[in-house]
Amino acid sequence: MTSPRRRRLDSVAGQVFKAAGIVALGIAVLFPIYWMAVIALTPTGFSRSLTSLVPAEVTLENFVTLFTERPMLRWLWNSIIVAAASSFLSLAFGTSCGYALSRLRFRGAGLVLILVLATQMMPATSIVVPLYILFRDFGLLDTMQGMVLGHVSLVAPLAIWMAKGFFDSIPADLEGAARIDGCTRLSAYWHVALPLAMPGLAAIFIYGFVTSWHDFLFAKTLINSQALWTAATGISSFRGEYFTLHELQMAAALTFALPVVIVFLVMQRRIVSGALSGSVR
Amino acid sequence: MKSPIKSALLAGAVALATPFGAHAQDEISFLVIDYEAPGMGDWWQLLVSTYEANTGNTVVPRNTPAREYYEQLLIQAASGTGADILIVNPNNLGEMLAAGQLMPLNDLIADSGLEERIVDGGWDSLTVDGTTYALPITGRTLELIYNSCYLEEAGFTEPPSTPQEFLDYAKALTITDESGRVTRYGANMVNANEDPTYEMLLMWSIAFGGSYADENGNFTLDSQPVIDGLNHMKALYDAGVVPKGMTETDQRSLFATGGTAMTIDGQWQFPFIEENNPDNFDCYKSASHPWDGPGTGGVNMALAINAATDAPEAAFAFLETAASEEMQSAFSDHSPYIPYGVGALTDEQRAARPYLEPWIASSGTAHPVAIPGHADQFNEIWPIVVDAILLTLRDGVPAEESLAQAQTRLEECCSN
Amino acid sequence: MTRAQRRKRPGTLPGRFGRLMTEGPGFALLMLAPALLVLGFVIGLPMVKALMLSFDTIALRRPAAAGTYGLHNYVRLLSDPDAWGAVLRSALYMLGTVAGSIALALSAALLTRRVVRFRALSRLAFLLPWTVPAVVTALVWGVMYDGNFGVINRLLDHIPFITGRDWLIDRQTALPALILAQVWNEFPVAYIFFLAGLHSIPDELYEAAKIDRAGAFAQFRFITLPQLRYIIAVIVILLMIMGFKSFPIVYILTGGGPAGATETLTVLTYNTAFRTLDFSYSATLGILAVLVSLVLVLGYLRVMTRADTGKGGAV
Repeated sequence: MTSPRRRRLDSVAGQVFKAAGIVALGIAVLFPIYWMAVIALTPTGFSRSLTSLVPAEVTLENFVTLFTERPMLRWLWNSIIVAAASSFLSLAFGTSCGYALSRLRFRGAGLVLILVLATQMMPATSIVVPLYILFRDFGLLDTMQGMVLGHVSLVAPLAIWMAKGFFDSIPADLEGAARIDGCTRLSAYWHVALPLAMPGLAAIFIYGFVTSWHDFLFAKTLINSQALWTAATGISSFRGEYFTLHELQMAAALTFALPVVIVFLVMQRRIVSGALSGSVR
Repeated sequence: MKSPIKSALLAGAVALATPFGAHAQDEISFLVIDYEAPGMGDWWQLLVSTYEANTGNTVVPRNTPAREYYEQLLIQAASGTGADILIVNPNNLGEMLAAGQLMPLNDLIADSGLEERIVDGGWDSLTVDGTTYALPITGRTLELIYNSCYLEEAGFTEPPSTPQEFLDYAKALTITDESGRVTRYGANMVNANEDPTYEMLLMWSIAFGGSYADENGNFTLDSQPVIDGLNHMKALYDAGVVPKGMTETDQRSLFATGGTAMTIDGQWQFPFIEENNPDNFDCYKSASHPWDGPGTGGVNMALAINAATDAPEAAFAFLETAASEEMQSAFSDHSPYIPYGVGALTDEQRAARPYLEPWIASSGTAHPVAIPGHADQFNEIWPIVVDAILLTLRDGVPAEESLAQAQTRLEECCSN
Repeated sequence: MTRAQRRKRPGTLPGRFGRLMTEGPGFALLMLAPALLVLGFVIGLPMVKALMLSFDTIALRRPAAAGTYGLHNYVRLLSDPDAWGAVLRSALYMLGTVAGSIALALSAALLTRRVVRFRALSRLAFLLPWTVPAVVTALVWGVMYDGNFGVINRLLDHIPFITGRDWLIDRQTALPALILAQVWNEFPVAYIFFLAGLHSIPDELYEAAKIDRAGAFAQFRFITLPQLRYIIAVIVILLMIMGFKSFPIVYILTGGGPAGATETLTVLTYNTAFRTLDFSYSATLGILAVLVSLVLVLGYLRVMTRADTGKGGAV
């Protein structure tokens, strides 16, 4: 039998080991981000011949150029609107669909799941022309609505699968109890199942936001007018025909990450809230 | 545009067409590259606003990043929704023409007197079987650019003027640190898996007196000049005096910031250096390409009209505005390219940018990048040629062998 | 139905309609329809069109050939060594990215699940790579991989026995180098879901295990893994699809080179459409990609289910 003291020592050693692991893994994972920052702080054009681990000459010029010579703020704003709208819609559509697939027994549910997944398997190149024609025919070209719709279709499949997974792990008895109390199916879903699945929903929201934030296919193909360009299109435009403006592009990419970081910081609390622990089981 | 009344009005307008298409309220779309970027983008914006002020028509720009332009052009063409005005170049003109996308411009050009406003030879690469399909806007060739400060340090007073000299200079100009790592390359030479690598070999093949095809359009990749050209590239590559595997755009930055001593490239290097490396700008000089015979290049942006446009005269008025003296003389203030308008470059503009002279000198005579007679297959041909180049450079396959393979593949895929 | 007609029977229809929509088949419809409609419209229809395209002959260079329907693209596919080589490379690439991402994400999630101090910060660290667009990921890794000036080779100088290489030019290292960049960019997706999944595991299970004096590995093996089973399955499927379809990183870093060593099915599909301008054959390759993905995903699901039922569980 181990003594309580020994066990505490063990856990201290475990903590130190874990902390060291986090730091080591963190450094490895963050190094490319650090390198992006180094490039972003280097004068335009000079990043290709960096020879040390720290920038030889630090300048904020690239960030200034970004906001003065390029409409970075407008690009970001467009991205925020589209990402917020499409991640919210994907969450709403995806979780309800996932819930239905988890709780309602009907024939063909498995087929629906596979078909949903299959929509993501086609390489973009093969559907881009039909997609363009479709959006043109429905007047969705060059509109925010069109982009949002496109992004929902990118996020929904995983949202459905994930939501089904999370609902599968929640015992159905709780909703059963609520239904006996006179709740409709809808309100049992809304008041009982959804709150329990909160960590998963938060993760799905983050996934939806980032996926929309990054989308380049819909943003570049279906949007023609520069007033509607998203930040993803803007950033890729620094990879020009004659020069790749690495420094500007890295500065833009770092700025581009900020809204995602904020969304993550807000939502990650929800992930932790872990409604399932404790009384539920 | 769909109502019959409007069409009737339009027909009337054609009959009455004045230089700037007098009827108002037409709307034309324009597939444009980097409309919002400083430089050339400023000129496009000026063109659009001048056109709108002159005609009362509106232009709806479809802005696309340079790297996405070709794809967008094809997607819109394939779905039958091409813009009224398209930016094209000789490398994709053939493809767009085969796809039935381009409107013949001969009559309109003849009626409007546009022909004389463009320099001799300017129309050539945009003319297929006697029919012209686009108005040349920008041109570029590849000429020698060198860092004269580095050359002086190494004891050279003149830039290289033969392929052999180019190699010798590059060797002398390469500097390594104590660990044997190169800190400065002697020269740039694109050798990544991208189409500029195709032009590198074309350039050296011309230097050795040949080309990729004979005058009848038969491929000659296995001919001696091309083999010599590839062996020359191999000599540069193996000497370790050019960056390996780096893309063209990255090599340009490297040169502009002092990491390379010489390059054979376009004039856009200079404004970039002026803006980003101003302290050393005076070191950078240009000279004609280091061989006898033509350089490579030609038109790289031209304006064409969609064959399916429902406002042809409004679209042509846009081309006229672009070719007008007003726009052509403003060109050089925004763009590093050589304009095609007659007398578009004033003496003051030339005096302000003496570095442009080699490009001006070679602008009418350059050897086209796409193989004559195979212009609509450029995007099929270049990967085959680049494969052969990389096979020799990286895997040491003898030039004769890899080029013979490429010749066979080209004959299979693309012979007429 | 006009507004006047509706007024004739006030209350009843909305009531019945309301009940229909909150119970029974109406409820199922309400829950399923929005997502499936959007998917069917935005991706489903173009996919069907692409399927039709694959039997047609839409090549921009030969507009006259349009409307020639037949199986010719599929016949050509069967004897196209490039296509099957690309399938193999795509599968390898997929395997590498899935294994790498799962290993990295699971380690990171297990390490950070119970962190109390700097919790948000430590988690943010593993999320950040995901905020970088694929285009930028490709460019920054391209700069780092560069043979001469690249920081990776410079760092390796300080490590004995490992020498730098021209990572992206070298036939042997090009594909692994691409996989590493892709793993770096996409593992946070898995990380987020693992984190959420770990937080859904009731603490009581671990408490009980502690009382039984189960070690850390035993806890992982008998509690964490089984509880995460479904999440892992979904994440693996997602990563499989992402890996199989991955485009910008490969296309920008190597363009399919050196000498075709990294030409995946997606790159080939792209080149067929935008270099040879044969949209029909490109669509055929797209259909091939869907079929191969389906086979791989269904195969994986089957293996999972069998392993599960073997242990007496169920998905």
